[in-house]
Parts: sequence; C-alpha cells; structure tokens
Amino acid sequence: MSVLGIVNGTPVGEALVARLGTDGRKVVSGVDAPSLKRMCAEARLILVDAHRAELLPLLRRLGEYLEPNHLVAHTVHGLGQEGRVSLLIETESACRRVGVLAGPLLVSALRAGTPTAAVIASHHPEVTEEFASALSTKHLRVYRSRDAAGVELCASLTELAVVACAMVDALALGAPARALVITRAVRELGRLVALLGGDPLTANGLAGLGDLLVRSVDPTTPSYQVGVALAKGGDIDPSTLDSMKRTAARLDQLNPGKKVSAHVFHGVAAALTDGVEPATLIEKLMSIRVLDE
Amino acid sequence: MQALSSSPMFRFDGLRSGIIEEVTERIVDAHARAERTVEPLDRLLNELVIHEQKRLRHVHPPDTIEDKRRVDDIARALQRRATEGELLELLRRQARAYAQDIAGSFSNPTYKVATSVLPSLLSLLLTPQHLRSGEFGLGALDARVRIDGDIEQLRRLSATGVLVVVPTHLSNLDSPLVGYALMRAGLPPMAYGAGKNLFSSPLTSFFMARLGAYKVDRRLGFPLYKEILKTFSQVILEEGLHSIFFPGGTRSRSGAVESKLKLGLAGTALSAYVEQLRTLGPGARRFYFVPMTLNTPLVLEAETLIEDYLKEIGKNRYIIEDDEFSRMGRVATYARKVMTMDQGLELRFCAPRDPFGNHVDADGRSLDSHGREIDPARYVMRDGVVTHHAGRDAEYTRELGRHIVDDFREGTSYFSTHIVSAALFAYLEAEIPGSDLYQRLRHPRRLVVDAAALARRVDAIKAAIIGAPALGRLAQRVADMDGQEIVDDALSAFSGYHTHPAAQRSGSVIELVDRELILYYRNRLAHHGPALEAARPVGGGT
Repeated sequence: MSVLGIVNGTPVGEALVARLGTDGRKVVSGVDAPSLKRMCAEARLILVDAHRAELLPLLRRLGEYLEPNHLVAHTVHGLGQEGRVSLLIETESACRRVGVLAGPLLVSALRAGTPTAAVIASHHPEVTEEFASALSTKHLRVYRSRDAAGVELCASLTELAVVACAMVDALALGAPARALVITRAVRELGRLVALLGGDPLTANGLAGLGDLLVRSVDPTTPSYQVGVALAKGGDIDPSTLDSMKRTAARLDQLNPGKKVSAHVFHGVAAALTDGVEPATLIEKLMSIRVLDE
Repeated sequence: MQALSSSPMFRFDGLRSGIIEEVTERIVDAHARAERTVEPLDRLLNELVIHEQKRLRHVHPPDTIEDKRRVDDIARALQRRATEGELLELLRRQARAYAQDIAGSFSNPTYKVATSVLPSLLSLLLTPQHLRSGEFGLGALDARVRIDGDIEQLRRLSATGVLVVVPTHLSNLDSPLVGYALMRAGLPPMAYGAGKNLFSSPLTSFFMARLGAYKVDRRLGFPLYKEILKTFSQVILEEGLHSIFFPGGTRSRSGAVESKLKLGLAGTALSAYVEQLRTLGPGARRFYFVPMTLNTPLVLEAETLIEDYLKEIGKNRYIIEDDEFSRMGRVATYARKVMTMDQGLELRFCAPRDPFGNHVDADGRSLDSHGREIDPARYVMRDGVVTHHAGRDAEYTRELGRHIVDDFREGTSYFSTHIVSAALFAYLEAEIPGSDLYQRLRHPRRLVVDAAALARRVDAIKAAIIGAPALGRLAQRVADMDGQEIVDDALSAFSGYHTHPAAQRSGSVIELVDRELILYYRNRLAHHGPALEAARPVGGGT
C-alpha cells in the first residue's frame, strides 16, 4: 500500500492521521512548508483537510510542491465566493485529478475506532478508486461516487440543516418536528444538487443524510452550537458564524430567486443573515402550502 | 524554425498507404488480443452486417457492388460460424476498405492553386468594383477579414509540436474560411474530417479531396466504423499532421456559441500524445489545442438552420443537403453581401492550451495559473511509467472541453446583427408575455419598436458587453458606433440577403419581420447574462 499524504488542518484531519496510522497505513502529515514538501515527494495521494478560511493560503503553499501526477482530495466544508474547492485546487496547482471526501467523519468515532464511513467523489476514476482503497480499513469504509459537485454541495449545505435540527432540539419541539426537518432538508438538498447538475440521490447518501444524522445529534459540532444559540440566545463563535453567513450568501447566488424550493435552507440562511427569529421561521415553514412529498 | 514547406501534410500522399495499413492492423490487433476488453468479434461484425446490409440493400453511388459483396461475405461467415482467424481476416479486409474511404489526399499543386490563385479570383468575383480601380489579388479580401490571435506563437508551436485547431461552427463555409485563416497566418495546412455528403458537389469535392479533408460517413453509426475513424485520427496525429476538429459536431442550429462539445475525435490527440510518450519518451512531440472563433454578421444557412432547430426533427438533421450551401446563387449573394462590409469577418485564434487545459508559453511550455512550468507527461504517468487509461483520458478531455467553451465565449465577437436582434427579441418577449417561444414567433400581431428607444437599448447592451470581457467582445466594426449607427448597420446587413429581412425600418419605427431570424442572431448572445439583462425593455417600453 502506497504512502498517503494528509494535510491535517483541523481535528478531523488529525483524527484521520491517527486512525489510518493505527490501522497500518503509512501516512505523511503536516501543514507547514517542509511537511508539505516532504508529503508531495513521498505520496501520490494527498488529502487536504482545512478550515475554509485558511484554505487559500494553504493551497498556495501546497501548490508549490504539487505535481501533475498527484491525486488530491479535500474535506473542506462551506461555500465561498471563490467557488468550488475542487476547482480552487485545480487553479492553485498543476493537479487535474481532484476529488472530495465527505460524510460523518466524527473525530470521536475515528479516534475510538468505532465503525464509520465516508464517500470519495470525483469525475476521475483513479481518484475514487485509489482514495477509497487507501482510506478504507476495518474501521472506516469509504464509498465511491462520480458526483463531485453534488457531494461538495451536500458537505457544505448540511451544516445549515444541522442548525435547523439544533433549533428544534433547543426549543424542545420533539421527535416529529426533528423528523420533519431532516426529511424535508434532504429532499431540498437533492433539488439543489440537481440544480447544479448533480445527482439528487447524492443527498440521500453519506455526504447528505449520513452527515446530517450524525452532526444533528452531536452538541460539539459548531453548526449545532450555532442553532442552539440562535434558539435560546447566546454567544456564537464569530468565525463559525462568519463562515455560515458566507455559505448562506452563496446559497442565494446558487439558487437565485429561489428557483427551486429550499425553504428549510433559505429559512436558516435568513435566520443567520437577517436575524429572523426561530419562532417566526418555524411559523413560516409550517404555513407553506402542502404539496406532494 | 522549421520551414512551412516541411510540414508533414506536404508528405501525406507518401504516408497515405502506410497510415491505412497502420489503422487496419491496430483494429485487427485490438480485436485479436486474448485479453481484449472490447466487444466479442462476432458481435461486432454482426452489428456491422445488420447496419450495412440494410443500407446497401440498393446500391447507389458512391457505394459500390464491392462494398455490398464484402458485407455479404461477413454475413455468410457468421452464419456458418467461421473460425476466429477467418473472421479476423474479414475484419482486416473491411477495416482496410473503410480506412481507404476515410483517408483523403493532399496535392501540392492543388494547394498552390488554392492559396495563390483562388483567393485573388474570389476577391475579383466578389468585389468587381476593385477591377475598375485596378486592385487585384488578396488585398480586397484581406481588408474584409480580420484575423486575431498570437500568430507568431502559433507558428513557433506548429514547427515543434502538433496543432489541433478547434473552431466554432456556424456554416458550411467555415472549412474554407478556416483554411483561408491558416494560410493568411502562415500556418501549415491541416487535416480535417468532413461529412461525406459535402463531397457531392463537384467543385468543393475537387478541392476538399486534395487539401487534407478526410471523409466521415455519418450514415455509418455503428461502433466499428467509429473505432476506425478514431484510430485514423490518432494515427495521423502521431505522424505529426496538424488537425482541425469542429467540436460542436455539426453547425450550430440555434446560432448560439457551442456549450456542449463532442470531443470524441479531438480526444484522439491525447491518445496520440500518450502513445508518442510511450514510444519516443522525452522526444515526443507536444500537442496544442487552439480554440478558434469564426465571427460573421450574417450566416449563409441561417434560415434553414433556425427552422431545423425549431422543428426539432427528432435528432439534428445532420445531413441537411438541401440548404443554402447547395445553391451557388445564394452562396454568391451571401459572399458579396459580407464582402462589402469592412471588417465583416473576424476569425480569432484563441490562446493555445495543452491537452490538459493548461496555457502554454511562446515556446510551448505548459504553465499553471501562477506561471510555474508543468511537465504535461506527468499527467499520464504512474510510478514514472506512461500508461493509457481510457477513463482518466476521457475525463481530461472533458475538462479541456470546459476550457474550450470558456475560450469560445471570450473569443466571440458580436456584430450589429447580434446586438440589435437581442434588443428586438427582448422586446418581443415583453410584448407577448406568458407565451412559449413558438407562440411568440407565430403571434399574428405586427410588432414595431420606436427607433430611438431601440438605439438606447442597443447602447445598454453594448455597455454590458464591454463590461464582461470574459463573455465576448464587440466586433471591431461596431466598436466605435453608437446605438443608432449599430441599428442602421444591422438593418443594412439584414436587407439584401435573407429571403425576408429580420427587421426593417418603417418611418420612425423598426418592424420585426422575420422573428425566427431575430431569434437566430440573438442566440449568439444566449450565454451572455448581462447583455440579455440589458436588452430587457425598461418599464413597458424600450
């Protein structure tokens, strides 16, 4: 099995390094220039894990060492004005074989070695085949997808649905309300994926429903904490709020004039950017005309 | 720098039989290998027989009795369950016949005539006023046609690498136009695939058959023929023959700039590059894709094409044989019309790219977006070894296609006909709201626009085009015109060629006459969001 390079810019990346190392994979990791240089010299597969806000400077450093023969995947969440992260990697480097790794990659589960899964998506068959093979162990199953745009969108927008679930929990609205939010959010996510030319079924997979089911019950997830704070009043981490507001703004650009119905997502976006009260949001959502499921 | 005359195309006739044999043997070899991943041989031949026996039930020229006999031999062999060896021999015979039919020719004397005498004659024919003033030669034609792009760079790249020119496609006149552009740019002659139906006219057939065109028989849609065609394309590219592919596949029926490309044949350039790397290593020639936009204020076959687009006759009528191109009178009228317009044609070579979408410098080195040099061979290496990988290479070509689409848009020039049509069509949409396209086009109401208001709208569109250079530019001809002048220029262009003008002046108003033509010319801006937004009438009027 060949060496895997991981740019471990967040706790998820660090947990992946630990998990893969424990499971017998040879991993080179780091974020500083010497580490990146060594990683690119030794590994064919490079996984980039970073916060969206730190991505561009990191890619510019990494781009100095990436070569055309590298296969690159990323785990970056959130939508930004620079566009899709996959395309950003192609712009900042010589690489063309790029993919996205997404799904319920919880730090605690990775460290504990409990069964978990993710999906690697790319248009390039080598990326999905080689990353799936390199990352899959007895504790981590990595599935393959050709819908890179869909998986990237799901990975970024799911956090808005997590905010909605957190609001439901904070307001003690009960399990049926939670089920309503989750099922409608997944349906809307599918519509948004289709709007971008992806496969709507991707929303039902690990990057959409899978991730939502896990993060919406994890109180340590930043987006969950944002939802609770919005519902009950409280401090919100400024960088998390900033990142989510950028995602909300980008959603408006991707779905101009609300071309497809995505009430849960646009509703949460309005709560984040315009300060719409959760109670008002819920009332509005419950007043929408009921159509076919 | 390598002299133009040493370009491989000038040696094509000497290479021809070797190319045909190479194509034949590659096809046979692909189907003979024990570990082959292609279709079983008998199924492949069976599909050929089904298709060809139906087509050759009645043999008409250019098909021959021999073509029919060869197919019948295969059918009989399949029926008696011939051995694999016998089937391979029949495959060899059939593949060779297709390859011979496909392969064109190149005649140096014909090339000399085409590049020296013909443009002068053409210029004389189309602009007889120059006969009176004593202007002969290419001067009159050259003044009408603007050629843009870094020609010096392309000449350098053509000497050391292989150029793959990929033009936009509106008209059957595009092939000679591209040929003219290459000649004027001092670039070598190139191979290109042309529909076999285009060889039916004696005049065009004479030149096309001797100037690098190879025949693509669109009637033969079965997998083996497509495989032979692709193999032929790859082999001639490996020989270093520069090539032209129209990635739109056919003429744009709607008039829009191509956004969905068919890169099957163009993708053979990447296969040729990989094969060169495998056999020649670092000495392999590099391949350069050159997107090219062909920009004209009028299109010869506009009326037929937009009608076809609107009828949506199942799939595209690939083989439209009865359009304006087949009527010499219409061709002459069209040419005279366009040639009276100063800078009436803009042919633009966009910046070249390697097969992976990277731009290249003056010496053909691939560069990333930060100007760092890239070794393109590393895109197709694994552990230092060059490999073919169909899935990988198909994806590289698809990604290249996205860059080509962006280049087409950026390289498009908008003439007065496009801009005014955009304004008129927006007016049509506003005046007949809530209807679908067909209802708008067929609505009996006479539609007129105040001329001054139209000019103001045209000014707004012009500003929107200037403000979004990534989506195209103003044609040089209209760059210094104001809205009123652009309207006048468009109306002048619309009259005197098409059966009915798209629009005409009637006192102080402009009347929409042929709405389908308006739609056709407006569609050149279909991808230009800001221009279409600017075209919308403000508050109920224009």
